[in-house]
Amino acid sequence: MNILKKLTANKLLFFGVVLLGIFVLSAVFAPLISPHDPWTYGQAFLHPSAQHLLGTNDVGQDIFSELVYSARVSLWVGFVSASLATLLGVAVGIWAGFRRGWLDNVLMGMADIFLVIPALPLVILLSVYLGPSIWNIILVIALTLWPGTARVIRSQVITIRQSGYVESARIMGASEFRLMWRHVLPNVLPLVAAKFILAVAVALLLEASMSFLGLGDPSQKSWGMMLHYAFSRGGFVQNLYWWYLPPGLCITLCILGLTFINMSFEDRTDPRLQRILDR
Amino acid sequence: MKNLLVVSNLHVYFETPAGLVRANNGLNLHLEEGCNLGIMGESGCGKTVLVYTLLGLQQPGKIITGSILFSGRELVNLPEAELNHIRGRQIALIPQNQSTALNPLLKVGEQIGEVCVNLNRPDIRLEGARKLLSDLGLGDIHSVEHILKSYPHQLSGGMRQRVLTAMALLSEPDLLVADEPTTALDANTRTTTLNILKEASKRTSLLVISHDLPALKTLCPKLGVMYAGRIVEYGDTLSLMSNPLHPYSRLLMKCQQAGDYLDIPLTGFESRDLLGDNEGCSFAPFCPQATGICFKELPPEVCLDNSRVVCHLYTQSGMKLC
Repeated sequence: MNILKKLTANKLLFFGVVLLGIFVLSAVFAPLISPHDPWTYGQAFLHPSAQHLLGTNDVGQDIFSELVYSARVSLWVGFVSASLATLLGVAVGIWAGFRRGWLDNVLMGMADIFLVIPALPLVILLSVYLGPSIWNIILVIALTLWPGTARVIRSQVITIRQSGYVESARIMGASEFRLMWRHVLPNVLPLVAAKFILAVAVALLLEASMSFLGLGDPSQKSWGMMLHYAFSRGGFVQNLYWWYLPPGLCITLCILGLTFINMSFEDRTDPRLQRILDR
Repeated sequence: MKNLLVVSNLHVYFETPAGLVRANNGLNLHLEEGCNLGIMGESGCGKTVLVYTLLGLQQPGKIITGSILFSGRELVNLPEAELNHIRGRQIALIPQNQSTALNPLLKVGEQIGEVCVNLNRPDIRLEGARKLLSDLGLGDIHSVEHILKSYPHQLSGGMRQRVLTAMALLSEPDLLVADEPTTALDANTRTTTLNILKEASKRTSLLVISHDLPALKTLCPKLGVMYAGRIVEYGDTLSLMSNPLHPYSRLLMKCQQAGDYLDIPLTGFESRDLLGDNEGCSFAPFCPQATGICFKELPPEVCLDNSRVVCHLYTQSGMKLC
C-alpha cells in the first residue's frame, strides 16, 4: 500500500513505470500473451482480424505475436548495453576523476575521441566490421555510450574528491580503493541512475536504427527488425499500417516511459527543475 | 623525555602561477612524548600545510628538503603504502571542519566501521567505539547506540566533533593532531571540545593548531609561535605568554590581551604572503626593532633557558646558538 502511495505521488514516475512495466511484462510473459508462434509461416499479408489481431506479414507470421516477442530482444539489448556502458562509464569516470593527472588525460582523451565521432556512423562501421549478432550489437552500443557517462561522473567526482569527508577518510588511513568505493561511489549514485535510464532509451533507439538499416541479427526478432522487414518487403509501399506502425509505436512509448522515469529522477536531484515543471 | 616528533629544517613549497609559495620555510619543531604542543600563528603562515605534510598529504606541495622523524622513523620520502599505514594508525588528525568531515550518505556507525576496516582491526569494531563515545561524554550506551544509527546531519556540531575525535582515537594513535579544534564554535561547545581533547590527551600526545590562546594554555605545556613558514619562538606556554621574546610573539600577545581596544601600533603590519624568496628575516619589514642585519641575513635559532627563538636580537647579545 505504502509503495503504491509513493508511486502515485509522483505522477511522472508513475506513468513512466506503468508504460515501461507493460513492455517488461509482455517481454517476460511473451509465450503466454502471444496467440501464435511468431516464427511459424502461414498465409501472408492478412489484414487485422479476430484470428490475427494485427494481421500477418509477408511470410504469414502473426504480427501481434512478433511484437510481443520483439519486446524481449529490444529491451534486452537496451538494458544490457546500457548496463555495460554505465558500468564502464562509472568505472572510468571515478578512476579518472579521483586520480587526475596523466591517467585522467589519457582516459578523457579516449572518451573525447568516442564523443566527437557521431554515434550512428560509428555503430554502423563497428557492427559491419564485427558482423551481425546480438552480442556484437550490445557491445557496439555500449562502446558508443560510455563516454557520456564517464564525462559526467568524472566532473562530479572531481568536486567530491575535494570534499571534507573524503579528505578526513584519507587522513584516517583509507586506501584509494576504499575512498572510491565507500565515499565517492555512493555520492554519484543518483547521477548514475539518471544516466543509466537515459542510456537505456538511447540504446533502444540505436538498436532499432541499426536493425532497421539491416545491421541487426536476422535470427532475432526486435522492433527494429520488424520495421526493417516492413520497409524492405513492401509494407510501407502498400501502406499496410498495421505492420509498420505498431513496432514504431512500441519504441516510442518505451522511450517515453524511460524519459518520464528519468525526469522524475532528475527533479529529485535537481530541485530547480521541479520549479520549472510546476509552472 | 623521549622525542616523539622531530621536524628539522622542513621546506614545503608550492608552485603556483603567481610564483613559488614557501609554505614551510625551514621549520624546526620537536614534540616530547606526553608533552602536548600547541602551535599558533597568523592565518596563512603554513600551519595546516605542516599538519598535512606530517601525514604525507602535502600534495601538490613538494618537500624540498628537511626531515620529519616520528618515533625515530623518517617520514619524508616514505613510500605511499607505508605512509598510509601511519595515517590514522600512528598519527591521527581531527579535521578542521566537523560539518563537512563526515560522509552525508553513511550512518555514523558505518563510518566508524570504515575506520576499523582502514585500520585492519575488525576486532575493535564498534565495541571500542561505543566505549569511546561514552567516555567522550555522549551519555550512556543507549544514547550512543542512537548516535551510531544516525546520519551526520542529524547530529549537532559538538556531537559530530566527538564522533570524529572517537574515530581518530580508535586506533590508539601515538600522536593526535587537532587542527583549529575550537574555531567557529560557541563558548559552550568550545568548552566541551576542550574537555574532549583534555580527555584524549590522557591516551596520546597532542599537537594542537589554534588561534585560541586560552585553549592552548589549558591543553599544552609547550607552545610554538609560527610566522611565515617557520617556528619563530618555542617555549613553555606560560612563560611564552607572560614574557614573549620574539618581536612577533610580543605583538601577537599584545593583540590577544588588547581585546576590543586596538591602540597598539599595527600600522604597516599586514599578513605576509609566502611568495618569493627574501633575504633576511621575514618579519623584518614589520618589526619595530629591526636593524640592518635583519634585512640581510636569516636569523639563526638561539637557545635560551627553556625556549628557542629565531631572531637577531638575541644573537647580537651573545647568546649561544642551538
